[in-house]
Amino acid sequence: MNIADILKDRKSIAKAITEIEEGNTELATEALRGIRGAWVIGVTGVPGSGKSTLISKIALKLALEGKKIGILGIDPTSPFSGGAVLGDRIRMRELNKFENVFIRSISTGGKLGGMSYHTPDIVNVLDAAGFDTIFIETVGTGQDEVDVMNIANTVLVVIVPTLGDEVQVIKAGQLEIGDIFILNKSDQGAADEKIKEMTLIMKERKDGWIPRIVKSVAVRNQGIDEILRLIVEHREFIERNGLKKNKLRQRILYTIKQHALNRMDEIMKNEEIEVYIEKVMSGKDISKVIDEIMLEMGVGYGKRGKD
Amino acid sequence: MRKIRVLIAKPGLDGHDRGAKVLARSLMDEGFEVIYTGIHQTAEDIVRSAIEEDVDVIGLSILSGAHMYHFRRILELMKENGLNDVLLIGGGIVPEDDKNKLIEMGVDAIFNPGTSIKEISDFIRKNLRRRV
Ligand SMILES: Nc1nc2c(ncn2[C@@H]2O[C@H](COP(=O)(O)OP(=O)(O)OP(=O)(O)O)[C@@H](O)[C@H]2O)c(=O)[nH]1
Ligand SMILES: [Mg+2]
Repeated sequence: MNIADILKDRKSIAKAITEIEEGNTELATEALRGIRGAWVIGVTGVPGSGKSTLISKIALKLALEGKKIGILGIDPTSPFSGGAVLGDRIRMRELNKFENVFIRSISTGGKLGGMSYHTPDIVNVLDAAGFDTIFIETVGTGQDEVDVMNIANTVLVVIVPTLGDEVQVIKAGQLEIGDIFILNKSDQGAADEKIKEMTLIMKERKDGWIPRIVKSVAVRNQGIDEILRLIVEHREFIERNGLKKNKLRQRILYTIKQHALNRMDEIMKNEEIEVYIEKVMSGKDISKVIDEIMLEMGVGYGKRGKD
Repeated sequence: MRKIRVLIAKPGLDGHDRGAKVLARSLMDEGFEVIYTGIHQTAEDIVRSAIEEDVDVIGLSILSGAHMYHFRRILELMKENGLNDVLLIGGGIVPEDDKNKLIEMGVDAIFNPGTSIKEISDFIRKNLRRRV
């Protein structure tokens, strides 16, 4: 199987993503093996902070330079119906005219952490298809969207002046997540004051990068060039310090981990799991029963590939 | 298991999307994955989104009276791009005559305003052309 031949056009890329979501692990494996090292940019922040608008504006500039841009917009699955409204495309209409842009909307599938189990797979597909830059817009709750760190080379955290203070950013652990903080909607509220507060709490991280903070008004296309400049700066920092291969390895490991968790989840959703209640209740150790469940029910997950 | 994916779009110039938003939300409550693309969509926008999102259904919300034009163009583009397993449905005020013409052209269903969400969901589930 040559993955590059499979991913030859827009439609075949779209179909490959669906197939992987349906459980084709052979294709997921080939995509993983075909990755070329696209720059992956995670974008997170509270709902409505302007993530989609920002991505659209940034991607527009890159697309004009002829770069191949992939965008994954993730929105939450309704816990009540299992359905979802995926609305990130609303703000990205101006990208529709570019041949070199591909956008896909994904639901979390009920998984926490701001992404679906197959998000890393989809990133790999786009990477293997030759996209240079891939944006992932996560579901932001302002708290637990840390998962994106595992696949992104650069993480943008979008904040707004009208919401919270710097203490919340610290509490939410976002200081550790963000490589670049974007104060969007800086046409509202006391933006300059907020920038000052934020600048004070930025400190050098373990890898030596000092998170940057920048103002923007996405709807007016303000601050976009500066964001692009900082993305390049961060990228050069990562590359100069030989950290890129770590990030790539981390993405590969994370892809495999998500498959493991997905499989576990599928097994636990199976109604036949009920038969194991008795075993535990009659005194068999829970962890032994889990071993049994994995052995007996773990087969038959997905469309398995060859050995 | 994959969810049925439905693209909801509003082609043309008129800018009221309350109805389309309510529909998107109701379809979510019925368990569908709705990709909502918003207003002012061209036929090209809609078909491109349908391809990228690999949807099972394209649903158009139409109020402007230019339904014949939009549906014709979208059907053309769907054919060009080989989207023969995608359902095309519409909702809005469409005269009975036009409705029949649209069905003849290849539109799968037109729902009048006030059609229950149950009727629309049942139609989608029954007429789906792809395995889910
Ligand atoms: N005033 C102002 N409004 C903005 C700005 N950026 C985005 N908006 C508006 O804020 C709203 C939300 O923008 P989105 O880009 O959809 O935000 P988001 O973070 O992607 O939202 P979710 O995906 O729903 O979490 C839209 O109505 C935008 O037009 C800005 O800089 N200033
Ligand atoms: Mg968004």
